Amino acid sequence: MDQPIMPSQKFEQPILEDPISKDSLRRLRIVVLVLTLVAIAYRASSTIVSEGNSALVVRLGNPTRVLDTPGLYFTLPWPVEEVVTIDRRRRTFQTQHTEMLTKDKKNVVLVSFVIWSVSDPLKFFQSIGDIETADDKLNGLVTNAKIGVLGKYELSALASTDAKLLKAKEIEAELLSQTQTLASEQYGIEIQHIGFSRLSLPKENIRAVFQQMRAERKKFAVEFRAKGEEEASRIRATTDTEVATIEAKMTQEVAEITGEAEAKAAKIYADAHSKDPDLYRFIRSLDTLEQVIGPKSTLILRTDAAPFDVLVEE
Amino acid sequence: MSTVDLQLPPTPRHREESELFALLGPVRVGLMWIIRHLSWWLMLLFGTYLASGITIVQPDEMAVVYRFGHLRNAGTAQAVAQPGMLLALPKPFERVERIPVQKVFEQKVEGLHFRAVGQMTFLSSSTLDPEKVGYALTGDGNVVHVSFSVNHQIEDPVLYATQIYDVKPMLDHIVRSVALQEISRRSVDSILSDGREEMVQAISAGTDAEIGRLRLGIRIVSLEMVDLVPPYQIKDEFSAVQTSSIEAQTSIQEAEEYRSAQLPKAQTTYNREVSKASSAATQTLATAKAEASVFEQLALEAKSHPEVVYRRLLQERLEVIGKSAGDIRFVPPPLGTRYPEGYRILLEREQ
Repeated sequence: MDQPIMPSQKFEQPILEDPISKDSLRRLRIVVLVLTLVAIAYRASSTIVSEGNSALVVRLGNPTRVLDTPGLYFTLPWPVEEVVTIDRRRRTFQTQHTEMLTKDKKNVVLVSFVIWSVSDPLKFFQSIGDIETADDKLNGLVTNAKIGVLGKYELSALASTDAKLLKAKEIEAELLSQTQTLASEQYGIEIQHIGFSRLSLPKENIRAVFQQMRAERKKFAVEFRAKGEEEASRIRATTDTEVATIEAKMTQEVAEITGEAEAKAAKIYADAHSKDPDLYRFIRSLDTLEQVIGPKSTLILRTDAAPFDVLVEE
Repeated sequence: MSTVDLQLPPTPRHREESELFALLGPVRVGLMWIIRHLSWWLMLLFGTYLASGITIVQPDEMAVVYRFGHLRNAGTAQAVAQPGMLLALPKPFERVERIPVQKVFEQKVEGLHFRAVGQMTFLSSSTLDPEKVGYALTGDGNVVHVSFSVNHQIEDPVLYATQIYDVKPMLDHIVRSVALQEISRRSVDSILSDGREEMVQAISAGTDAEIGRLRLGIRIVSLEMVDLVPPYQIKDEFSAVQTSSIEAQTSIQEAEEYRSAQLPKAQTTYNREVSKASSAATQTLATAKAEASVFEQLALEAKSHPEVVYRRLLQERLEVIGKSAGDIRFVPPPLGTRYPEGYRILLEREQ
């Protein structure tokens, strides 16, 4: 239960004990201060150049040192000296879409890519400044060279089913040789490779290409159908011929078998009948009579002929 | 009248502060303890800082260590640290970069395909804008859209980490460049049909060679063609070719079926008829032999008893003939050797 607070009651203030002595606190402060100052001085006057990078030490706007080798370097603090780091690793740049004319007066859109790196950091810094600006410079340099080089080649040098006409590698090599020296001397850039990443036709020409493709497809469709029908009829005709051959062979073979059998049978009969020709003649006559006498025949017999003679009294 | 020294009770705000003060008492005590043992804490902090350079390199990784930006043990086999615990100094003295050398990175290359376009509005257009839609020109002047998927691994961690800014766009451009050259030397029909596999192999080999020549520090694990289609605008015509091709195949198939049915049928008829003829021949010969044998026996008997044999044969036949004949007339024998002049037998004739 809360006690009522009397007017004469005073609140006691807590007494703080000094946890550390004043000397210790002072020493601590000095250590922290010194460490902080050392850290600030280190940060302000040192720079680390990493692998793949270079750095320029610029004293009051004037580049004084190029730090090419990776390591720790010391400089005067800003604003006296400023360190500009330049990434020297290889990177890619793609040119813009530009229409250009080939030797046979055909428009093409050739997009190239460039693999490049900074070869001379000082020259690069002085002539270009930064990577973004380098892209613009490279675009101008490569596009200009491309227009010149492509004008010496026909479109078939870029796309053809005839391998002898294709010159893409040669064009790339020519572009590289034309731009490499200029880029190095003017901008401190080393161009390692130039290649084509897009080869297109202006959109006005694509309509004609589509028409050509349509006509070609129609031709192929007709050809396919005709070839199919031709092949099918050839197969049917061959089949009919083979069936006819089999049937002819069958007829011949059946005739041969039957004929041979008949001949053998005839010989057997002849051999047998020749033993009693009269009897054979008699039997054959009876056979003939049996065959020729039918319901419309009238048989006239003498009463004295056998066997009717038994009916007649002698 | 005496005065009374009145002590006013603390206001509610003062009372709250006092209570808060009392509540924070343990915290205050803790802080004071920390300050009292500050040197220990600083040593612990320093130790933690020193240990921050220790790195665990995972089984699928390798690592390189930069000491003040310089590659540690550069040019030796120790430049690349193997999986396990790697002891390194803390920053800024040393920096560790872990490189996933076992991981297979998949990259889509769609710069020569219409998929690279965000919106498919070009489908309704009668042409292709080269700035918006990717495609490749074939050797015979046709157009195809093509896309790839490239799987690659880091082969040289030092080269990859120190010489290449970003390998992805490089790989993308190289694949496209090689693909353009391979497509531009082939006809559209070869690309879309039987030459497709060979072309993919050529692109893969070409890309591998270019990556090796340019020393990008990676290697191609596999390169697959994801899609290869003619322009949407020519879709119907390509479908018509496909249809006619199928129709042609169907016609040929039907003819083959006809052949498959007719030839065995003819062969069956042949076999059956030859077999029947052989059977008939055997039968004929057997019959002939049997009849000949009967005749020979009969002839032998006829020689011994000609009268009986002849008479029996005649009578047997007369029995049969008599039954089949329509009418039988009997005439008496002539008185002499001949019938008299004018002897007639009248027969009824049907009208």
